[in-house]
Amino acid sequence: MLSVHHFTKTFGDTIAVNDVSFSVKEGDILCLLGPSGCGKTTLLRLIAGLETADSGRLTIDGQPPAVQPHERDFGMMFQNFALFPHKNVFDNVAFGLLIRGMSDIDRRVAEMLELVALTGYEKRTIDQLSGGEQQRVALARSLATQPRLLLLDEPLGSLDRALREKLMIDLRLILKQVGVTAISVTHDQSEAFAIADQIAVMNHGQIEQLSPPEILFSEPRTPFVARFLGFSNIVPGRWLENGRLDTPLGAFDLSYQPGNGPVDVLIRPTALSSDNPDHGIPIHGTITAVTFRGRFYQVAFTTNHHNFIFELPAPKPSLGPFRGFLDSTQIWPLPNR
Amino acid sequence: MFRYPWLFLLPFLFLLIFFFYPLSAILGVSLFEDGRLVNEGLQALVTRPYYRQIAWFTLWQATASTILTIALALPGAYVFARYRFWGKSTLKAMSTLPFVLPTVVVASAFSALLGPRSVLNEGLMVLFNLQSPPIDLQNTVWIILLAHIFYNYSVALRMISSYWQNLSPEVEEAAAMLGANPRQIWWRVTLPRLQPAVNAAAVLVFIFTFTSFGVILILGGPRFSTLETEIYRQAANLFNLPVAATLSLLQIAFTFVLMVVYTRTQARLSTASSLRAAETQQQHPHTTGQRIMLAANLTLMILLLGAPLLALIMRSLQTDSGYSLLYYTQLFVNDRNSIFFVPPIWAAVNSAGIALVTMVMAVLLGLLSAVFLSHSDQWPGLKKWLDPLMMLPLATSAVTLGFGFIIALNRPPFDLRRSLILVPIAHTLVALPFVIRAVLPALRRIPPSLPEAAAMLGASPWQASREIIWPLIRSALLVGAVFAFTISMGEFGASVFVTRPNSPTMPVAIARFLSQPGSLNFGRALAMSTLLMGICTAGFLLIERFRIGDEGEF
Repeated sequence: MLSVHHFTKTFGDTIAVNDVSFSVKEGDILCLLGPSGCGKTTLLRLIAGLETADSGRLTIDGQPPAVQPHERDFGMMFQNFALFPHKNVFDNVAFGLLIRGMSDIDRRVAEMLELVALTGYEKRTIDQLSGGEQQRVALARSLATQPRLLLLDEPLGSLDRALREKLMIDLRLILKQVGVTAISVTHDQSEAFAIADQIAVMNHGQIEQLSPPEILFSEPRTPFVARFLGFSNIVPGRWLENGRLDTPLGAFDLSYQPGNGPVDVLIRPTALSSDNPDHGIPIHGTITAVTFRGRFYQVAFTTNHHNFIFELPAPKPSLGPFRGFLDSTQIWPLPNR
Repeated sequence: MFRYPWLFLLPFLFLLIFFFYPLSAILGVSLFEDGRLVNEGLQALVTRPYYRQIAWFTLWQATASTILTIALALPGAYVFARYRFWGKSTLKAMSTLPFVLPTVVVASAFSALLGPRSVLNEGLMVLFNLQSPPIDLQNTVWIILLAHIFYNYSVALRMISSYWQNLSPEVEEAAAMLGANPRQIWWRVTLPRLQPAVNAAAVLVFIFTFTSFGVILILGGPRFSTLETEIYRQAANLFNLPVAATLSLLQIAFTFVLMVVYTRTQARLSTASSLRAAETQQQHPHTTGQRIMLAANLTLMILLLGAPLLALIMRSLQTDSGYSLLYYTQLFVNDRNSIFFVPPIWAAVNSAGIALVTMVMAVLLGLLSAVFLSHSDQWPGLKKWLDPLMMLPLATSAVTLGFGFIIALNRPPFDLRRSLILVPIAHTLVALPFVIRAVLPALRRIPPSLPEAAAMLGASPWQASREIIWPLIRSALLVGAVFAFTISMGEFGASVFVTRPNSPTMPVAIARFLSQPGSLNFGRALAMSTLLMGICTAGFLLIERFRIGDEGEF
């Protein structure tokens, strides 16, 4: 439905977006996920038409969109919601409809407020709303004109943690109910997992991986993606002639198609156990710290001059030498460096 | 917003023609004659002790005014920073009134309070059957200093108290717990902590009093001359243009240096004061000592600010034959030997017309400048020198501006000497920085995402400006407009140069009445001053009504 072809944008000496291409299917929600400064917001603004690309082009249903943002018929939700402070809830939601000279505005606004569960809030001023209510007004406003594409810039970014957890579920439900194609920008992986059909992880102006959330989590492609998802045990490894994978923790027989040469290897935090699993290899090292984390104990584990973080179940592991096993199904060689 | 980019050149063009060109003309007159470099003006300045005395007196009176103002304002600032009391916010708002009062009005008011014909003197003379007025401060340095304190007391009070109330009193309490007595706490803890605010206030008061014109010209009489009044005398009375130009150069140099110093001190002020807000620390006075402190300061404040204005109103109604509106009705009479050739009230009509034109020009140019400046935020390098550039007229004394006008704009390519537009142009230059300062913060407060959100909802740039930007800056622009109107109504320094004899503005007419002998002239000066005060007070009330917070002040 929407395709980006080779977008590049520089600000002075910095390359914000570097030769990015991707497509989004009709009705899909795509999340651009990455740390601050990775270019995800710039990419969103290029799609919106609020910035002009140095090179590359955009097509929507095979056609280039209008040049000016106000002629594109895209909706956008801004990071701090950008609600008009001098207008009340009704006038904010009605703004796009009025600009387009649409009829039946009252009914449409009522529909939108019902969608975001704010019926009865029409006359409230913006400063009378809580952060969560503002977020929902912003969503209603951007959906009211039935845009072809909805762009969301950190839609939950300015809300506190507990509220975010609840609203990210609501957000996906509402977007799916409306059936709008959406591109959302976030730096928070749990938010991306909760709302996206597809996630594009961005780093240094480029997309490192574009996958559905489940695939992204089970098969990260680069050390950056793995680290950004919170995995910390990444060690250098090497494919041996015999198809085994050699790591500082030992050599593993893996069920994946072997490669060749050096490779970065992800050891999942759940790989260590004291009982032998089906595909385990023995390992010994030293536990140097133990932290209680609720459902598990987080241990700092040192072996062969490498430090790892693992999760062990109760009972509380003791400090000092530890003999256990590593589950080879929890070892993932990262395809790209 | 940038559909007509050439529009944004207008403010620059305006500054170029009506600010930099006259300034360069001053430089030319001072240093060149028939294309040759001359140094007569400079030589006179260095060799003749007369000018050294003027420079010395300028510095001396400014320093004395500053020290006295700060010394009086500090206890007041303490009271406002640390105590709650009934009527505080109203009093605080009213205390800025002097800031919008024209200098000639203040001069008239002090004449009416402490001059030979003052309310006080006439009462005492009748009471004790005296032949001459017992209290006559007219043409003494005391009345100048008092008028300067009147002007600047509230400026210093506001700057210092708003900083003070954000300082946590816990530090003083800690000093007390460590064994410091109240005097030690004041000198070693509180005063050093207040230093940034005191410095900024002192520099500002120094700038105001250093460039003070109307007060010194009218109240000081011929005995006292500062750089500012001397420029006027040399240019307007003695037609000694090279000396006037050289004095102007000196004045420009001084004020620019002072403005740079002020910008520095003020920058430190804003970074420090955002640390902490502690209005909750304020309490009602509860010991007798605190009550006396409060009462003494409030009395001083009301007396200082109220007495001259009250004396002005009373004295304007007090004729030789008791209280009447004689002086007001006399404003409508065209004397045979009139100094204006028309009824004096025409000065009010002139002033109002000029102020309206000024308002329109200042608002248009100020809006364009502010929009341009707010967009220049994207280019920090440009912004660094654009902001001060637009504020430059603020640092230039009005007399210098007026003088520059008469020597630069009386010949081609800009022969405007006879044009009616010259006065509003001069006033616009003076008012422009105030309009910019009123509008720019409002513009900068609008996050860029608001017009972007409007665009994403389908609004064209024009629709976004009209629906979103305009409603959000409207009241700031109104404040700027009223400011421009009020400033124009009261502008004196540039006006004495550029108004024509038969169409004076109100301040020029007041000054002329005051310089003439006779109780009728004095009375008419006070009557017109009272009218002007009323107009400016109305403007002030409008500004207070629409001002958001403390912004757009200096």
